[in-house]
Amino acid sequence: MRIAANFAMLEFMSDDILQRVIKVVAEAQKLPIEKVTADSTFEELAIDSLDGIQLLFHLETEFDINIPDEAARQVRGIRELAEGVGKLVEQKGA
Amino acid sequence: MSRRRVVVTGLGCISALGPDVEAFWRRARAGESAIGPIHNLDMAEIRFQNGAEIAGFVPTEHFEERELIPLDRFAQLAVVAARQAVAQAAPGWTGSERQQTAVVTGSCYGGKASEDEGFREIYGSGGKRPRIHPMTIPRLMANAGSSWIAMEYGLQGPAYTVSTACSSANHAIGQAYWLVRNGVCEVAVTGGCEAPFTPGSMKAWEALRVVSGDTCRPFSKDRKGMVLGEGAAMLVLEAEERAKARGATILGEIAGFGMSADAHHVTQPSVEGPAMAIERALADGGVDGAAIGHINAHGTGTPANDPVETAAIRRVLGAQADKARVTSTKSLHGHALGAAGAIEAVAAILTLQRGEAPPTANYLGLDPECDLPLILAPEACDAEYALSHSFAFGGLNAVLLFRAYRG
Repeated sequence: MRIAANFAMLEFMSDDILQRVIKVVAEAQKLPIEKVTADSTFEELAIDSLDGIQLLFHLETEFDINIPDEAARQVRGIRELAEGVGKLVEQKGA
Repeated sequence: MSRRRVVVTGLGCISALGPDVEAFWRRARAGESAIGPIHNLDMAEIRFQNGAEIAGFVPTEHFEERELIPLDRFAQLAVVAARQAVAQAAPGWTGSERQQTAVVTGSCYGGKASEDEGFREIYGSGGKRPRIHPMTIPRLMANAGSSWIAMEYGLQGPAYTVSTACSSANHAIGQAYWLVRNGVCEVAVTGGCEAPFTPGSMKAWEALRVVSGDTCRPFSKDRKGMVLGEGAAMLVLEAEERAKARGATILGEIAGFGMSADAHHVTQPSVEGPAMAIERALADGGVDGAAIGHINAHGTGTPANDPVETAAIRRVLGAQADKARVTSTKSLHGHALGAAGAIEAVAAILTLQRGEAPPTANYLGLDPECDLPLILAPEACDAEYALSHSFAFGGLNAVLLFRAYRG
């Protein structure tokens, strides 16, 4: 949970990143975009572990980042996912 | 009519643990893991770095240069392992027996290195005339192991290859066992072969996020995934009466085989499917779960497999699940995919024959969901019966039941 806690540092998540993450998730899962919100959990969206791996693949492409396995394993919902992506984007720019 | 018994009279194995069966066993019984940094590939762009490669394999020590042209590494390993097994069994084939002998091998994805290399030439040709080596197809076909073993010895019986991912070799050995048991043939050469270390397949495994960033820690707390391995193992199976009549040294017996499908999820394992395969192997052998003294588990070291396998063992064996001593030798020789079941069959047969069991390496401590009686240090084994499990992606399960041969 240590990594998840790091991910919760909100300064890493801009609204732009959140919206792009939501778009990637909706497209990958073939969901109407209005069904996917910052508060959605993977469970609510019926995203299983294999779907999750595919989401990471699409997010790596969208943001040109490399998402480590360990960090990815902790994530349970869209907000956490966007925060994690935001942190990696920030690190890339640093 | 009493059923024919099927015995093992030859074993061959080339793996990260060593070039032959005795080298394999020396390290396996001591619990010495062969997992380490991958040397034969550029791993700079891969998230994981460790594998279980065969060190010091020089193809020209086993084949003429000309013979190597149509042989991918996975088929080379198949022939090398088969030569060891046949040399030990010395089956003394007559001409008509050669015409009847079966060859059944398992491979997850065949000659991937040859395919990968050829495709790189085409896609990377940059507008130049794209060409691919004319032996690419014979090298990559998953049945190459069976074909070259059949050609090596002139074996003309049922010969084929089973491809069921990580269960390939167990399915193959089980099929060969039934062919001999049912009298279709007297002798079979069977096992599995795999050489998965190619740039393309490393990227594919990386993307699936099931390969450990450190090592393979089956049933352990803090396990992080599987570690890939390469190798081949082959068994010579023989009808008991034939082996006895010619005075062969009998190394062990295959006593049962069970298969099932999860019909559930392409990568998430279920308890029910593996449990059915274990039950069916016991039923096929007419053996009660209480007789099982040793299990060579599928034990991949992934977070998903190990608790599910634990639950499946508990469901079928009941109270015996607290007694049957469990090991996962994947912690030693890596997960050799389509060869895994064959390498683990060698380990299980030697465990029963020699009365000593190889430990599970790299264990860090108890995961309450994986509370099996694990073998964590070399120990004696007086079991009569052992199970060897293979549970594949795609939910295809195959379980072999071995018996110590005591005449």
